[in-house]
Amino acid sequence: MIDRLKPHAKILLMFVVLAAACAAWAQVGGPGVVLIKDATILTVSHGDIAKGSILIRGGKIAEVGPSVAAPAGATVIDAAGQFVTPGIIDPHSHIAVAGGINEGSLAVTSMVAIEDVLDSTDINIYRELAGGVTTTLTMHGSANPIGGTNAVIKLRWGKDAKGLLFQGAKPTLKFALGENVKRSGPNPTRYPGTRMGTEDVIRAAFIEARNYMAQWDEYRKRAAAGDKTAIPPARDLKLEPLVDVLRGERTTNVHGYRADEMLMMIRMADEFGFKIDAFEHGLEGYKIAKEIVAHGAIVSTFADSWGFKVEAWDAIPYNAAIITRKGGIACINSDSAERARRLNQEAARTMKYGGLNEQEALALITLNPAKELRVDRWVGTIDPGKDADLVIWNRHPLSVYAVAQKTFVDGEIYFDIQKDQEMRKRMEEERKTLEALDKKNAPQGRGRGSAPGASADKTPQHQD
Amino acid sequence: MTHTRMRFPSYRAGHRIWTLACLAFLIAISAQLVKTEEPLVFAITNARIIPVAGAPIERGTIVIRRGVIEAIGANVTAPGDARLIDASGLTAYPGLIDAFSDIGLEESTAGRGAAPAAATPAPVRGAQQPQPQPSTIPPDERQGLTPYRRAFEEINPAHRKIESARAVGITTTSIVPRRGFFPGQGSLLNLSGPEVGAMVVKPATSFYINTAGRGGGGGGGGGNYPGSLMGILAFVKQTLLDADRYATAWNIYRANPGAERPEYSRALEALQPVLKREVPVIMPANSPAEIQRALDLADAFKLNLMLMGCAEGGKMAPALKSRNIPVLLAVKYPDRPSGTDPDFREELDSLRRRVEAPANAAALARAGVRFALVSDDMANPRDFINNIGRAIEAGLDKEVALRALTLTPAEILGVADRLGAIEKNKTANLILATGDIFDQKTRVKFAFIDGRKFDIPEQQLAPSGTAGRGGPGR
Repeated sequence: MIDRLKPHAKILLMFVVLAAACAAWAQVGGPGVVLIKDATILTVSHGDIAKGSILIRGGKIAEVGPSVAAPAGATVIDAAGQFVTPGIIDPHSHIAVAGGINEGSLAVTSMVAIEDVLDSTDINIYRELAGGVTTTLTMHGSANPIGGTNAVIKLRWGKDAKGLLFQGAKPTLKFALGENVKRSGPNPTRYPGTRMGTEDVIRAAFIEARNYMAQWDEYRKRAAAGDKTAIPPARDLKLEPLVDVLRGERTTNVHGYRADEMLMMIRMADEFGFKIDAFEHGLEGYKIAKEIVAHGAIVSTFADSWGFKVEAWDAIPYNAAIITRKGGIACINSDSAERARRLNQEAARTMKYGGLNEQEALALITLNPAKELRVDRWVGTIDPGKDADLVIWNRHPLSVYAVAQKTFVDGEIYFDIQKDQEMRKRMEEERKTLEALDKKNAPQGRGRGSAPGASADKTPQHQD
Repeated sequence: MTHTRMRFPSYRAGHRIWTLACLAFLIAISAQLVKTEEPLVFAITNARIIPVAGAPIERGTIVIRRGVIEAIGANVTAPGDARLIDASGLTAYPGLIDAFSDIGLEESTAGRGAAPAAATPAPVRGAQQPQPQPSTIPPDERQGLTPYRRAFEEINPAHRKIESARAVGITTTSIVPRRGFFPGQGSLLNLSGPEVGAMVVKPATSFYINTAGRGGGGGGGGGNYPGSLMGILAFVKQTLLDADRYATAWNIYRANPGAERPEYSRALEALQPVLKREVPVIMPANSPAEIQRALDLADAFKLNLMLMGCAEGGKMAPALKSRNIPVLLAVKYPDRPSGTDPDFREELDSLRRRVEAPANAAALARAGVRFALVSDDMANPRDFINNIGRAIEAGLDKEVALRALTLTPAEILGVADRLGAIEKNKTANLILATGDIFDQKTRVKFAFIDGRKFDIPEQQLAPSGTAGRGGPGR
C-alpha cells in the first residue's frame, strides 16, 4: 500500500512515523532522559527544594519537585548531598572571539558583528563550563562610543560557531562611555577625546540613522507610487543596527562607570526614543538608582572591584544590593575569562556587602542576566519547560568551597569533573604519540624519504 | 652544446657573389639576433612521457611547433625542421601549474589603498559628519579596495624567483595580489617571457578577498579601518552590498530618463564580474572556523568561491565536497616552535596541527575534494615540491599529487583546453626531469614554456630551505 502512495505522501508518512516514535520515546526513558535525584535544588524562581529531583527530557526541564519518579530507561544521577542551580549566565564576556574584540579604528563601528567571528575552539568556553557558566553575552570591547553587535551564546563546547548561538535571543549593540572611549589607544587623532565628544558622536550617529530611515522611507514612497527613476539608497551596515535600536528591535548595552555619563545617556535615549537595556559596569549606579530604575535599565556590575582607574574611584561593593533594594535589576558580570569561572563567589559577596539573601544573590548570575539578555523565557531558573541548563555543585554554590561537578546545557553534560580527569590522561597519551611522530619527521625534512618507485639513480644521458 | 652550423661561401668566388653572400649572411645573422637560440620547432625523442591526460608512454616523442604541441606518441617521427633533443633517461611531465603564488610579483605599496588616484580625494572614513547622503559609504577609494588592479601589471619578468620556480618544473603560475582587502585580480602567467605581454595566459582569473588578512591595526586604539577580523568581514560585506547597489543604480539610470545619475566608481565597477559570478573569488581560510566563515560569506552573496590555504581543510572535507568548492591547497606546514626556554611546552593543539599537517592533502583527496596544490607565498619553490613529497609520504597518492599540479589547476582556472597535460594542440609547457618529479634527488633539466626552451643550470638546484618554511599563518 505504501508503494502506491505518491513520493511526497510517502515522505510525509515517514515523518509521521518518526514523530510518533520520538513522542513515544519521550514518554518513556531513552536517550536524553535524565533524572538528577535527591539534590538540594536552588530554583531561584521558587525557593529551594531540600531533597528534590529534576527530570530532563529532550533538553528541557520536564519536572522539578521533591518526588519525581524516574521513567524506565532514564539515566539517573544520584546527587544526594549535592546542590543544583540554574546554569550561570555571564552577561558581560569577551570569550570565544577570533581576531580582536575591538574595532577601535573608528568612533562608530556598529557594522562589525561578534557573531561573524565567534571562535568555538576557545578553551575558555570549557573552563567557564567548569565554573558552572552555561550562557554568556560575548561582547565587542569598549574602545569606541558605538562598538559592534554582541552575541548571546550557549557554551556548547565542541559545536561550531553557529552551534554556540542562543537561538531566539534578541540582537544587541554595544555602546561605551568614559575613559576607554576618550583615551583610546595610540591614535591621538581619533575623535572623541572627551566625554562631551562621546555624547556628540553618539548623537551624530543617531541623527545619521534617522536620516537613513528617512531616505529609505522616501525611496519606498516613490517606488510604491510607480516612480521608475527612484534609486534605492545604499544599504549601510553601520546604520542598520542603529535603526534597529530606534525601532526597539535591538537591545543596547552601554558601558559606563560614572553617574553623570549614565544620566547623559538616559537623556540621549529619551531624546531619540530608544531604551537603554543595560548599563555595563555602572559602578556609580547606586548614586542614580532612582533614575536608572525609572528608565528601566538593568545594571550589570562588578561585585567588589573599585579604584582600578580614576573613573572607578567611587565604586562600592554595595552597588548590586542598592540597585536591587531600590527596585532595580542588577547582575554580576565577569568581563574576564578568569573571573567568569567563579561568578558564584562573586555573587556571594553581595550577601556580605548589602545583605542580599541567597536567592537574590544567585539571581544576580542567573535570572537577572537572563532578563538582561532577554532569554529568561528559556533559562535563568529551574522551572519545567525551561532549557535544562543546570549545574551540580559539591557544596552550596555560594560557598567558596563549592566546585562544579557537572554542567548541563540543553540537557547534555558538557563538563563532568570525573571525565575531565580521564580526558587529561588521554591528552597526555596523545601528546606522547604526537611527539614521537614529530621526532620521526625531524627537521631534516623528508630527506631520507624519497617516495618508492623513484628513478633518481638513473644517470640521465641526453644530447642537445 | 647547441650550435647552428652555417657554411660560409668561399672568398675566392666572384665579388658579386661575395656581396650577395655577405648580404645573405647579414640577413641571416639579424634574423638570428631577433630569435637568438630560439628555434620554433623541437622534437623531444626517447623520453618517458607522463602526459597526465593519458597513460604514460615509456619511450616516445613530443613535437613542439610555434609554442604548441604538434604531436605526441610512441611512434611519432620527428619532422625534418625540428631541433632534436634526445631525452633518453629523462621523463617528460606537463609543466607544473602553481595556481596561487606570488612568484615575480612586486606589489606596489599602493595596494594597501593608501594612495588613491589624484582624481578622487579620499574621504575620511570615520569622520562623523551628518550629511544628506550617507557619509559612511564613500563611493570609491576606500583603503584596501583596489579590485581593478591586475597582478600581471605588477610582475617583474626578471624576478629571480621566476627562475627558481622554473628550476623545480613550474611553468605556469596564477599570481594573485594580496595587499589590502580586495587587493585585485589574479593573472595566469606562463613563466616564459621575455616580456610580460608574452607571459599572460589569462589576465583575470580570480578576485582575491583577503578575509584572513590583518586589519589596519585598529584593534583597541585607532589605526585604519578595518583593524580587526570582524572589521574586515564588515568591510567586505559592505563593499559587496555597495557593488550590488551600484549595478542597480546604473541600471535604473540607463533604463529611465529622468533618473539621477549615480556616481562612477572604478572599484565598484571592477567588482561587477564577482557579483555576476563570471570570475571566481578566492578567500584564504585554514581552520575549520575560517573555512566556515568563507562559505557563509559566499552563500550570503552567492559568490563563486575558491578557497586558498585550507591547512586544516581535511576537517571540513564533507562541506567542501558537497558544495564542490575548488581548493587551492597551500602545502605550507607550520614551523616547530623555536626558542631556548627549557620549560617550553607546546600547546597540544599546535602540536596536533603541526604533526598532522602533511596528511591534510591525503584527507581531502580521500573525501573527493577537488584541489590544486599551491605554494602561496613560500620563499623557495624547492620547498614547495619537497612539502608535496611530505604529503605523499603522509598518504597522498602520487598521481593525484601530479594531477593537482597540472590538469586540476588548469580545470579550476578554466584553461584545461590549453594547459595541464602533454597533448596535441595544447600549449607547449613541459619539463624534462631526471626522474620522478617528487623525488628529492630529481632534477629538472629542461623546461619548455610556450615552446621556448629553458636550460636549467645546475646552480639553480639550490638545496632546500627548511622544509616547513612558512606556516599557514594562523
